[in-house]
Amino acid sequence: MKTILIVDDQMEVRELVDVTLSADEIRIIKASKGKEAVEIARREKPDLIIMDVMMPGKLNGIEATRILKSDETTRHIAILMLTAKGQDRDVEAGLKAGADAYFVKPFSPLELIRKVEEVLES
Amino acid sequence: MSPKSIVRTAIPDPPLRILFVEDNPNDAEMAKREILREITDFRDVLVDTEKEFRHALDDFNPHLIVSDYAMPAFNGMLALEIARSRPDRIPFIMLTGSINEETAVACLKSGADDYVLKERIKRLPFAIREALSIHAEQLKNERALEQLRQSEEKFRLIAENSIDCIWQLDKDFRFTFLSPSLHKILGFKPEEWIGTCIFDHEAEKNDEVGHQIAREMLENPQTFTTVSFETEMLHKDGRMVPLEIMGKPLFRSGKLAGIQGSTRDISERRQAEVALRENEKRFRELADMLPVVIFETDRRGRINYANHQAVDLFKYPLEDLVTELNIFDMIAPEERDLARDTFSRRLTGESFGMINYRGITKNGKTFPMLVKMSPILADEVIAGFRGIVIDTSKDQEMIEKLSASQKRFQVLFEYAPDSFFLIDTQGKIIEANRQALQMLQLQLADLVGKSLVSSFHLQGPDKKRWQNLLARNSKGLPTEMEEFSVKLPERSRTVIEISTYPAQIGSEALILAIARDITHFRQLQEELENHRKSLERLVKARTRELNKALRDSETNRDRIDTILKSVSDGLMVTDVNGYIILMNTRAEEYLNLHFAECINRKIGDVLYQASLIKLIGNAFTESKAVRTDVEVMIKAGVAHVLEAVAKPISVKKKKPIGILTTLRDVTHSREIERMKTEFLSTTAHELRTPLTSIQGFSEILLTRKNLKADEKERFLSYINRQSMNLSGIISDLLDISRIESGEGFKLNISPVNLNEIIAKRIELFRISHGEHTFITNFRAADRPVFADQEKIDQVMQNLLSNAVKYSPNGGEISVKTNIKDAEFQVAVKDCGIGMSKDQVRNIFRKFYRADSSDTAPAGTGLGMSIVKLIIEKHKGRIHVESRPGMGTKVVFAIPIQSNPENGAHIQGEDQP
Repeated sequence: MKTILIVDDQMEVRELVDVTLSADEIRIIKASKGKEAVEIARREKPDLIIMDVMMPGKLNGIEATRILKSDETTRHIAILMLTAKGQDRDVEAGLKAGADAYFVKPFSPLELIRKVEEVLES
Repeated sequence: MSPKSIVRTAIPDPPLRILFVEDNPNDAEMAKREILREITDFRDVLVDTEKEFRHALDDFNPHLIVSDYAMPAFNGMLALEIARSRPDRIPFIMLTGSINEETAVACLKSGADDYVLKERIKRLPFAIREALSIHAEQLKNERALEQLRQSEEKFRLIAENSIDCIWQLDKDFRFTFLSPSLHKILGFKPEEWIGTCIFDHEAEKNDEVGHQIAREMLENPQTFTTVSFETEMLHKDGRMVPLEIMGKPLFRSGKLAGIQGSTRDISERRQAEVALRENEKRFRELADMLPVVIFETDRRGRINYANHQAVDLFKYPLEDLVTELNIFDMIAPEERDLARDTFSRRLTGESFGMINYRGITKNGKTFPMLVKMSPILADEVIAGFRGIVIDTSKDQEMIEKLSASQKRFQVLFEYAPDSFFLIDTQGKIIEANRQALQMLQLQLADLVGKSLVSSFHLQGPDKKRWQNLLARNSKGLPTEMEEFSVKLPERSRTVIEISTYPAQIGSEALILAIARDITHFRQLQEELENHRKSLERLVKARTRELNKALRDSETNRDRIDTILKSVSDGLMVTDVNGYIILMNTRAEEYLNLHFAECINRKIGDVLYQASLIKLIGNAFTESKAVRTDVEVMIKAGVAHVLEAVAKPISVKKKKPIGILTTLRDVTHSREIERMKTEFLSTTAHELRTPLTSIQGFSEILLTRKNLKADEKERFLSYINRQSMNLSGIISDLLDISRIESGEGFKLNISPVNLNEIIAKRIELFRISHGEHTFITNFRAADRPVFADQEKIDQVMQNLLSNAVKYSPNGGEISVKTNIKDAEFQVAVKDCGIGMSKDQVRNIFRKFYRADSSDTAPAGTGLGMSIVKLIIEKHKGRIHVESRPGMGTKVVFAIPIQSNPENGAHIQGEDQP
């Protein structure tokens, strides 16, 4: 059983990713803010976090990623950045923060599944 | 004693002379016979009258009178009376025939020495003897008394008039007599001291001396004749008076009866002694101070006194000088005889002046000296000599030195390179040196005695000037140089410079005139002056040229300045070493500097913008134009962005001579660019967000087979609303692009039921935004309003979309409509996060996003600017109220009646 944490401020996106990735062996947890994400991640220790970059509130996706990656207890958790910002510097920022992979919106759900499998296997 | 001897002793001048006063010669004979028995050596005279008696007294001058008592013409008593009336008391014997006791007594009382009865005439010699010896005794006594009295009188006189106090003491040393001088000496009256003991008055400290003497005197008075000692006694007024006391013991019957003495006030003597000592001291001191030897000798030439200079000069110790040596020891042996000879002549009173001798020291060294002596007199007799010795050896040296110096002077004078003239006060030449002779081409013999004036042929004003020089000299003043133009033999006109100095040589007042030929010098001066003048002309000409060039360059510079000033970009020129050469006003503004302060200073020293400094350096090193953005603070802390372009300046393809840097304020355009870039970036993001839902959910719907019905419906609604969203964004973009490109947008005006439009839009939002509650209150009547339906719908979309976006936690969104004051008013209110004053202020700015951070709600920032534009085009108004945390209320109103330009082409305004 794999646990995946989906973090996005937009309800629709959360649902989309949920629907995309839902399967028998997969447990989905959702969060709408960076702060929430960090709490849940620490608590649940998911196998993968799909993190949106742009979120309102104190922590955006990149910040949350940085925190989780620097925390020993959560460093191992794979993080997949998901964002509409597709420019080079955003990718760089995300990867620098510690994200393991990057995925751009809009996306094809099928491609997302493939990416997630890739990340979970590594 | 024998009668003869008595007579002899009693009578000073024998023989004895007897005066008989007797009328009866027989009685007289009888008396004589009787006398002869014992006394033979006598003469006699007989008288019987008063007259005769008196006469005989004077002439005969008897030693004795023998007188009869009773006589007819004369009588013994009368004779006695007469005899006794005389001062000399001649012994008088009354011879009487008979006498009764009364008569006898009467005779004796009247002064007779004796009476002899004629019957007992034998007694006469005895009576005579007695009378004579008693008389003699009496005389002796009288004489003695007289002498005593005289001596007492003398004594008193002396005592009273003596300055010294004469006194007498008894054997107990008490004063029996004190002369009045006591008062003068010690202030006491003699009465005060009579009876007191001498020792009561003596000063304490001298007690011993006085007492000692007194004791000795008492014990052995004979050993003393006169004793004297000095002491001090207390004056009545309290001061001590120095006294000399002299005393002589008085003896009576071989024993000390008293002391006679005198007391002398020796204060003056003391003072004199002190003064004398002082004088002597002064003399000694003086003698020791003087640079000459001072000595005193006795009559034999033995030295009594010598000052210490004598010791220094003759090298003998002082004791030897004054005890063993004489003056001749100080004279060189070969001259001693002469000295002795002179000395003895001095003793006779001959005086001499200063004599030169050769002196000799203890060590045998000889030297020249001058000696002068004068006699010391004591009671007009020469007791010795006092003299001085002057060592003239130094003088000798001095003379030699002087003469050597004189020789040197002579040489200097003679061989000096200038002409020297020694002239008298009249200007006549006394001496001239070689150069002078050369100058005048004359021999010395020709010059001496001639005046300088004539030697140089000075005339008129020159002569006057020369005389002025002399006049100054005569006052003892030297003169400045005076120039004279003279004609010298075998030369053309010469210029000489003369200076004169007064010189006192011995008693002569002379003048030293120094003449120097300065002709050549003057010529040089003239040449120099000409040279200087031509140089001046050259400089003037050159200066004029330079001034012109300067003015030209200034004009150029002014031109350049004008150009530079007018250029709106900042310009700065630096040279190859980085020094600032030029800076225009704009550059000054941008860089917050003053060119005046920066000129010729290194850019590194005046600029702090590292990027700019580096840029300029790069332009130089890379020899090409380089560009960078520089951030600067222009005044009031406002940050501006400048685009700096640095370009090397080279002239005709040679190496760069400098760098030209232009500075352009691109703050605004950079801002615009930034905003555009951000806008685009955000826009892309905005577009992607709905597309994510659309693409994603559509794929899910297409690919998943086992979806539930409600899921399918939900997903489709997402797709639907996001499509609407997308369409809204796209229209915004289109509007903006139209506005930006200058096309503006058209209003499509038609009568519209605004409540309906608004309600429809709200419904759509309800469907797609379940988290929010939409409350409507359409108080406005459903009446048509002239408006662009689509645009008003767009406005509602924007307002509702913002309301939703800025209340992320759901909540109430209320929409109210109203008609009031001929306006259709719409209010959209949310309970979301609200906005600050700043955000409210800027809300209608294009691209303004209340919050453009990554954590902000999505949006392009265009919405509200478009909304404002639309409302304004409807001739309406819009305002926003908001408080952070309290939500936002947007109210707009458009006039119902007015007819905005139908279909008119509204140009997009460039909104701030």
